[in-house]
Amino acid sequence: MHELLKTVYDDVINGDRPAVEAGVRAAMEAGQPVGSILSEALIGAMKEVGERFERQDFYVPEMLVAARAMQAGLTILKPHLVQAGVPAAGKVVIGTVKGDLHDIGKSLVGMMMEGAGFEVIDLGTDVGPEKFGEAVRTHKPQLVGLSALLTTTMQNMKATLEALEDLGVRDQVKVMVGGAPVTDVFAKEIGADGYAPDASRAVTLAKSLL
Amino acid sequence: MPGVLEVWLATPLLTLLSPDDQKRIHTDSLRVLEEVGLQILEPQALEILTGHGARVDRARQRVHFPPDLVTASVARAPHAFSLFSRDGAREIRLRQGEVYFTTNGYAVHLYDPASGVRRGIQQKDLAWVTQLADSMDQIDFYSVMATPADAPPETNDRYQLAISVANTTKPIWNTAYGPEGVRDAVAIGTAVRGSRQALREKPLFTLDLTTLSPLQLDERQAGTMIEGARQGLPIGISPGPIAGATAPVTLAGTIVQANAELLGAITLVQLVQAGTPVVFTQYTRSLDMASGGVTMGGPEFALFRIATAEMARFYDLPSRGGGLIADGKACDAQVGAEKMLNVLAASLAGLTISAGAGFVDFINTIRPEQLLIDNEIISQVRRLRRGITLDGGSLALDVIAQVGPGGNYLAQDHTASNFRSELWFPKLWDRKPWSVWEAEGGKDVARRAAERLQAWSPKVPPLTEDVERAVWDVVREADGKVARPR
Ligand code: B12
Repeated sequence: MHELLKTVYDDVINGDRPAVEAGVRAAMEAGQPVGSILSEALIGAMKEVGERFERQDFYVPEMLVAARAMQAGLTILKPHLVQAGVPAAGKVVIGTVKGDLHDIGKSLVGMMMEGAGFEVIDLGTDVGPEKFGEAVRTHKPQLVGLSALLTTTMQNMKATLEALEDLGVRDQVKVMVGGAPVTDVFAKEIGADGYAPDASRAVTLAKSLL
Repeated sequence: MPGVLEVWLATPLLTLLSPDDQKRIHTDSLRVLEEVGLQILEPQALEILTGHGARVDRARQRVHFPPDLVTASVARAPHAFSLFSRDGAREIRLRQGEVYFTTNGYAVHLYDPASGVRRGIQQKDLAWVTQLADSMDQIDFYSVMATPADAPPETNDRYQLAISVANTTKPIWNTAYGPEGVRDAVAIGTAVRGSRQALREKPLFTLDLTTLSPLQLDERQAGTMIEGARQGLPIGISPGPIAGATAPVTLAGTIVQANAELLGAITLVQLVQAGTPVVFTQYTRSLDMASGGVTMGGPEFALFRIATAEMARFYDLPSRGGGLIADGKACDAQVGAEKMLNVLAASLAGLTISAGAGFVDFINTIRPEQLLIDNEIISQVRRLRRGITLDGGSLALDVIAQVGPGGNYLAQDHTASNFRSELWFPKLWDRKPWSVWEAEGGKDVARRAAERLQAWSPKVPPLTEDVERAVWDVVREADGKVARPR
């Protein structure tokens, strides 16, 4: 890895946002290809962060500051990536279903996906089926993530899938579901494309669905 | 004048926060309520609070509470109130100095010990676990253990209460979904008690409600609180901020925030109806930084329970929180240690109500064998709290003199007449010699509890046909009102 990329890589791991921003700019000025800055320095660092997290060398707060630093670098890089024709990792619309106000798990999944390079559109909590439908139409994501923590709101996942059908956008997206009462079996029953029990597995699932 | 024993029982055996610390938490909570305020997403609540001098930023639905208003309102909450059993005969007096134990609320899954499979919970399962909890001698009242997946979401609260009154004679800790839900709960209670007046005189259940941390009251919970206060129901308001996620990662910061949320909600309730009984509840907990999940089994959770008990004593209100909670899943040493740690801290610090019996996996899964084990744990804690009696008889100088050096106490009258009250008797713990234990299959406590469970059968007398019909009429009527598209 080029020295400048290595600096960015280390700064992402350390969660040093200003340093990552400066580092990305410096790498671009020095003529490093934007594709390499993205994959080697930014995504590469987040992969290392993920591994440290799995080993419990890193905890959630450290992972999140790293993800934030990585996102800051990505923001600078983005316009140039489009110009260079480098494809984005993917876009996901995520939200907690209607009637449900639990947002910690959903937000964590969102942050981890951002850390993995996804563009995340977070619709918040208590999101009605129509709103998910609209968001799919406007943002054209590859993925939709639904979260439910209550037995009484789980069924709204099904209603959301139906709304996507009704709007004719169901086949344009893969839908993943999660939350305490949700199981693999339930996900299959309602016709979702995947289920993950926690945030890091949600990222693996998202990648596998693309 | 209270007797010696009463004073002794009211004195906590474990203290953590000094009177100055408590005062500081109180004044800092008042500052949070005044300067930061609560976001309350319920228009009526904003009206009520503005009417009493709170500064309301309507655009942000943010209420800034004047400290005097809070202090005066909290002082209106009664120091004691009672819940009564289904037949009205047994009274549970909730106040400082008493200690009670209950199940936890609203599980998502049920572990079936017979098949070893964890699955969703249906109405018939809720009826079954309710019966099981009723049969536990150490469980003082029943917290509705699950949200049945085969009942409609909108009226699930009515089903929960209807199933509970049919399957337990103990007082009930339940919730309601909005003002309509409160009125239906009152109708169900009225059917059981025979009249609205009888329900007022002998409350059968409470409303278990939460704040939306950090520093919010959502529309439904606030609406339910307001209607509950109007109906004169006892209300348990339970902030459950998670240190590091929905509250500061420092324990003190989380305690202040929870205290602020709770005082704000109590203020609202007292302004609707002064004298509404409230239970000072907190499910303060922390985030497991390794997984991003919630943890409710560690030493921080126990420290939070002590703080809840102490702040409730500061306001002289009955208190509640998780006591028998564990992160573990199996009926193993981890779950036993987590539960004992939490419930000991809670009870010794004087938390009025420790909840959690029968639950493992945070507060997600009911494990029926664990309910039997928890029953045993509670029984031990009760004996511990009873302490050591010091009086002429118990100091036993006469017998000591009588038996003398080298004698034996076993056959003494003093022993025969005192051993039952002095010593604790296990129902489930093993005290057999190794060889006997081994010959009987070398079973651990989980196995023994599971076997007991197999031999157990429900015995709660059904409601009379008329009452049963009246209760379910309320449920059906509520269902009828819900317009269901598709
Ligand atoms: C915190 C909490 C609250 C907080 C929420 C604060 C907030 N801002 O989110 C408060 C106190 C407000 C609250 C309120 C209520 N709650 Co609550 N709550 C919890 C609790 C303790 C933890 C949830 C949590 O945040 N976990 C931490 C996160 C990180 O984990 P997670 O949400 O499971 O998410 C992970 C995975 O599931 C997965 N995941 C999640 N979403 C998604 C999405 C996708 C696409 C994927 C792939 C993966 C995925 O990845 C996440 C990260 O690893 C749970 C019990 C528990 N231990 O799970 C109860 C619980 C969910 N609540 C419950 C209840 C009953 C309620 C109330 C109805 C209480 C009441 N009596 O009024 C209200 C309802 C409010 C509403 N309308 O939504 C019950 C549900 C019962 C049931 N059978 O339906 C539970 C199980 C607790 C209990 N037994 O009482 N609650």
